[in-house]
Amino acid sequence: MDKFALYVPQLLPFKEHFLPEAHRACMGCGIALGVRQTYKALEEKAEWMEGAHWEVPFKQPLPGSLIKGTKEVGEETRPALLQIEKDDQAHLLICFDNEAVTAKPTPAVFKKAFPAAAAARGFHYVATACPSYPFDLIDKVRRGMESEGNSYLHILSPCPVGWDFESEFTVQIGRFAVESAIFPLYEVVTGSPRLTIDHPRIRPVEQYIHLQNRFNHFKKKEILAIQAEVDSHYTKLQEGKL
Amino acid sequence: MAKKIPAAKTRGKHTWKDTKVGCVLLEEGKAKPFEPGEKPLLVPLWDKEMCVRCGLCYLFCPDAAIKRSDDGYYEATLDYCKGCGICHQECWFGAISMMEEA
Repeated sequence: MDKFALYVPQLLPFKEHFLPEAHRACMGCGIALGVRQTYKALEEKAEWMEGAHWEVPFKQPLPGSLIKGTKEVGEETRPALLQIEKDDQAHLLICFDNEAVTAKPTPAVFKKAFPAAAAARGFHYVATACPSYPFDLIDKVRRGMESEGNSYLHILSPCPVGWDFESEFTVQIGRFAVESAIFPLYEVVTGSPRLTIDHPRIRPVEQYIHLQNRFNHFKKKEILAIQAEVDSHYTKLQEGKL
Repeated sequence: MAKKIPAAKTRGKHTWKDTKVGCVLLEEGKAKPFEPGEKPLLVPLWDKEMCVRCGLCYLFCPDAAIKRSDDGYYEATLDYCKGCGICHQECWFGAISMMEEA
């Protein structure tokens, strides 16, 4: 068994900057998982956050450059934002999106609009991530901290209470969202997006939708419409257009 | 016997009129004074013969409850474990089972 002793998770720092006694999230929370992995990525920079014990409050109002983008999406969509100041006084904005604030559960439209709006409004580094792919997320947080100027990260965090599924499937549902291309993982560096994880076989959207009870009212016609929208968005991304 | 829940007025001067719109918390670190202590219903148990010490359970724990012990195996600190079962679901080797605590 000794040759299996070294695995990739053990290359990460074991020191925990995210302290469990200071959060009151539900069991199986995707946001807590995302924040923990973000703190792991920040390492030395998280030192001043460690004293804060998750005391860095989520900023509710969005910054000025993104407000115009939200108006296109709708007034009622205000997700949780974590704002981290970089050395050069620019900011890294991390949006933990659990799709809870939308008036109607429309999975495809929302995610397309936010990173695209951020990229159009002068954010130098824009990326999407999911805690089901921890190393991808950690890489993106580090790259966002290293890049010059403001950067924006959109993290899909499944919510067992809001999406109505068993708490043990949090990670699996995030993986399904990426594999069915409903939430593709990409990063925008110089105007054009690049897919960081491109599965050779894309799952049908139906599999992702049937895992959750919040979409029980969807009929087959609506699912087909979503599938068509997701497909066109994904082929656009593969060509390098937002 | 069920505990009698006091009416809102007797709890203090803080009523629903004082809460912010959307129940937004403006102070930081409000969870700090709460002590952990309630044990979860189901707790993860490791089968050491099947565990290969890969550390996936440690990486996917949202509560940072799983710690690495000195011999390389992983354990859950039950003070912080909420029994969500993500480690049980994500273990590739089926080494973790969710059991009622003895």
